[in-house]
Amino acid sequence: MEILDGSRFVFEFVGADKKFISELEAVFPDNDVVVRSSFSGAEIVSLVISLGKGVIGKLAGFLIQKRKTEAGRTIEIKYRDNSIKLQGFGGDDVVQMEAQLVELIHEMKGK
Amino acid sequence: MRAVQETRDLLKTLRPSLHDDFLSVGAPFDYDIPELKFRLQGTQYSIYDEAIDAVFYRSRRSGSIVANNTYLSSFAYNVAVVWAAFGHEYDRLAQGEQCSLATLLRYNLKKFFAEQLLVRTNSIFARGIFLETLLYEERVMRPLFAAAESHTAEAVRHEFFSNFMSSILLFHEVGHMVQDARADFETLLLEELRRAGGREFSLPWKSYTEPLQIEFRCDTLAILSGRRLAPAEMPQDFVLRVTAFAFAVCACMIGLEKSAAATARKYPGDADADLLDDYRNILPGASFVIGKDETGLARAHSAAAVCEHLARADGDGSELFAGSEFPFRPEMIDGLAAFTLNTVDVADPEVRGLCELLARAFGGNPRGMRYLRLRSKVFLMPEDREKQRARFQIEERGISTQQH
Repeated sequence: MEILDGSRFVFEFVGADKKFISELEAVFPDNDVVVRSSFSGAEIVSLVISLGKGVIGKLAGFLIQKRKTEAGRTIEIKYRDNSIKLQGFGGDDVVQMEAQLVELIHEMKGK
Repeated sequence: MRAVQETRDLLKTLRPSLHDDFLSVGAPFDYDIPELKFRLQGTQYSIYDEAIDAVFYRSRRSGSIVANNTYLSSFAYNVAVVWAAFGHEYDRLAQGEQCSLATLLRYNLKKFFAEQLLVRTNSIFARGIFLETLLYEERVMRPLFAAAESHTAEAVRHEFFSNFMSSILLFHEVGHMVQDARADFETLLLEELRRAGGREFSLPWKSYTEPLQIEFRCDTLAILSGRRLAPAEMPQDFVLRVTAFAFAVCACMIGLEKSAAATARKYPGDADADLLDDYRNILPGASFVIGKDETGLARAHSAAAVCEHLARADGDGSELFAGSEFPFRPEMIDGLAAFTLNTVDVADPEVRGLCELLARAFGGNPRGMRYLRLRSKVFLMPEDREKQRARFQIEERGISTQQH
């Protein structure tokens, strides 16, 4: 898992409410959670996180638990000047979602 | 100092498209809104970013961060400058007549649409309509900016537009902070509206869902806060008409941004024909999606109602929209939105055709297109303005021949 080297990634969640935000903050107490709003009314929540051992699995577990259906999952991953948006992903188990996220991170880091 | 650097790093992480050159030095802010018993502190930046998604961040670690996006405010400012000069031609525009107002508005709205499209796709169509505005239409704006430089009164008003448009967007976001902190936000707004207007105000947003009602409340806070920025000698009715106009422009902006996003999804440009293989065909991807943002329009009507109510402190409010200086009436909100629907249509087939050829020639040269987009604007750095603002402004004045 050489890619989990402390690189700073942003995971953005669309359609997050206050409950989701506080749950996200509880699961990642040491990381920054940022809520951004704009004039058009859109509100997006970002988890700013340095990748390390266990982080991806923790995130996958959180999403599986809080966003029950695959269709309800929309996230955008940002790394440096790259970003990838995912809609309806992850299957129904943590391992599957973790594998997808790791593959994407590989791709974004160009490895 | 470390905290400011942290917020700067965070902003760059969250907005990866933001270039270092277009991120100002961070400056602490401290807004006190005594009427609402609210005080907001944090760090603010000026940015220039064609992604119009956010201006306000609430970070668990770094606190409140304002990213005052001058891309948004400069567009609204340019349209306000046009309206100040030619708003009296509105009835001609509404009847479909060719007039200066129509020409100038079309240029600004089309350029905004083209830029929003170029952010999302590098299609020949996106490049083509951007080049059309740059090569054939931007010159119509130049006399307006030249007038501002030679007439003090004009310069003062233009300066006010610029600050005001930024402030409306900023205070709207401050409203979200108040909303989060004060469960009685709406009650406080009603009290302030009653005090300022001299009578009860009937809220126009009660039939909407709670998330949308929050937007209306934040708009109202922006109006109440923004109007205090006007110089004392500036007539209040003028300021209120500018305010109502600002929200109408924002509604158009949101509609065009969503239209560009829909166009990019439907016609991504990936299948655009190769330059030499298919050069005889008509402009690929020339289909586009364009529509109005109904919520934005409802918010603009609500803003106009708030402005009319505030005008009642000095009379019965009815004369607000009868003023001839910066003329604006509520029905123009829908009129402007309707006008946006036709701004991308072909006005001159020969011009569109020539721009198509150039757009094809720019295929595979995104840096060249970015160069043209940047050179189509004049960037004013802090030292060009009052230094204490610690921010930069941007105005569109056509291709710059000076380095700033």
